[in-house]
Amino acid sequence: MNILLDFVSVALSSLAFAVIFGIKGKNLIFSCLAGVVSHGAFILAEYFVPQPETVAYLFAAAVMTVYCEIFARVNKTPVTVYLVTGLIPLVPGKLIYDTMLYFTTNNSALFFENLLRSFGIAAAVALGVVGVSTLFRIRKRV
Amino acid sequence: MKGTTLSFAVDMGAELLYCGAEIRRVEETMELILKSYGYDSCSVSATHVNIVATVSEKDGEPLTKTMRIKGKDTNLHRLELLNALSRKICETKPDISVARKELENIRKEKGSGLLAETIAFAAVGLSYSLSLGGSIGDMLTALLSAAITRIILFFLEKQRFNNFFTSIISAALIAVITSLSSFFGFCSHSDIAMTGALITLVPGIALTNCMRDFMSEDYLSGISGLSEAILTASGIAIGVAVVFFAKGALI
Repeated sequence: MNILLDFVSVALSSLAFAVIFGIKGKNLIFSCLAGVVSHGAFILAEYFVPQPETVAYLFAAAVMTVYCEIFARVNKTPVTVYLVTGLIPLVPGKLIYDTMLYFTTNNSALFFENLLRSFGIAAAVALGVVGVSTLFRIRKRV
Repeated sequence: MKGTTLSFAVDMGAELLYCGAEIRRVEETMELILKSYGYDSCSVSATHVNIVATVSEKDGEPLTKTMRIKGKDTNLHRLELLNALSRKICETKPDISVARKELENIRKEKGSGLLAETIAFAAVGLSYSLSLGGSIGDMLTALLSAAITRIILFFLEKQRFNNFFTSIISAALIAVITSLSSFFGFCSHSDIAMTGALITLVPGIALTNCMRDFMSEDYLSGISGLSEAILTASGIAIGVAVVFFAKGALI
């Protein structure tokens, strides 16, 4: 029940973000699924490789980008349309919030620890997206 | 003829930038349009704020058009329509006046509308705090503060305040609403409620595009996109921090 609720909430937030970015029609469904795919891949990766956490983020971002690149080609749509919503579940919102909280409460040890974790995750997600997109671009050129 | 084609290509690029396309897409689209109308030697360069395009025929005078792009109205639906239009232009090469009419039609395409976006903001607040494991009170607080944020953003955008200021104000607003809600015992985890509402302000498109800009070696645009994202994120942090400090002083 818990995991179902988890996926429903991710799907709903991805769908809502798609509406915020002005996406319409069938692309709403595809971009909503991008969020679900990235969250699913993240849960799977976290289960098998709990530490270091960046691995799970890297894997999830890579899987999500593969999904986005494939369906962008199938539907002849700019890949940004799917990527933007797919990235949202990978934003470590709680962690960034904690970083800010420790900053305001002058807890520098925890602040720096959380800041480094946030940067690590951001780098992992960026690497996942950039790596896969670059590979897709090579195929296009050949 | 040369002038109208060039103007059309530049307008098309400007509209793409305006809707939130990455630089490579803008340059490639303009180049493909110019080439499909027979201007083989053309040179196009774009950044987030301007476009320069030059075409020249054999033994002819070169012709250049530049355009300054101001403001941004991210709309991925329009972006998709523009992409489809440029695909169609390259395949069928319609008359420029026909293509221009279609561009004007795309320009008239509206976003999701304030009501739909307010509901979407509320839904993001609700579902994000749900996925973080918030209670019913947390979810409702996030829902309410996210919805109010969208309405305030509407007025701030109308006043053409800059991005940084807008994110400070809206983040502070969310922090105030959540703090009040937790003060009256309505939400049990104020951190979850606040994160759920703040996630609506995350500069998603700026980040995605700056990654793609860096990847296609458009470093200048990548840096300007990254600074937009960092500035927005710092704005959010400052807005919340100010409220926290104020709360610390009051209680």
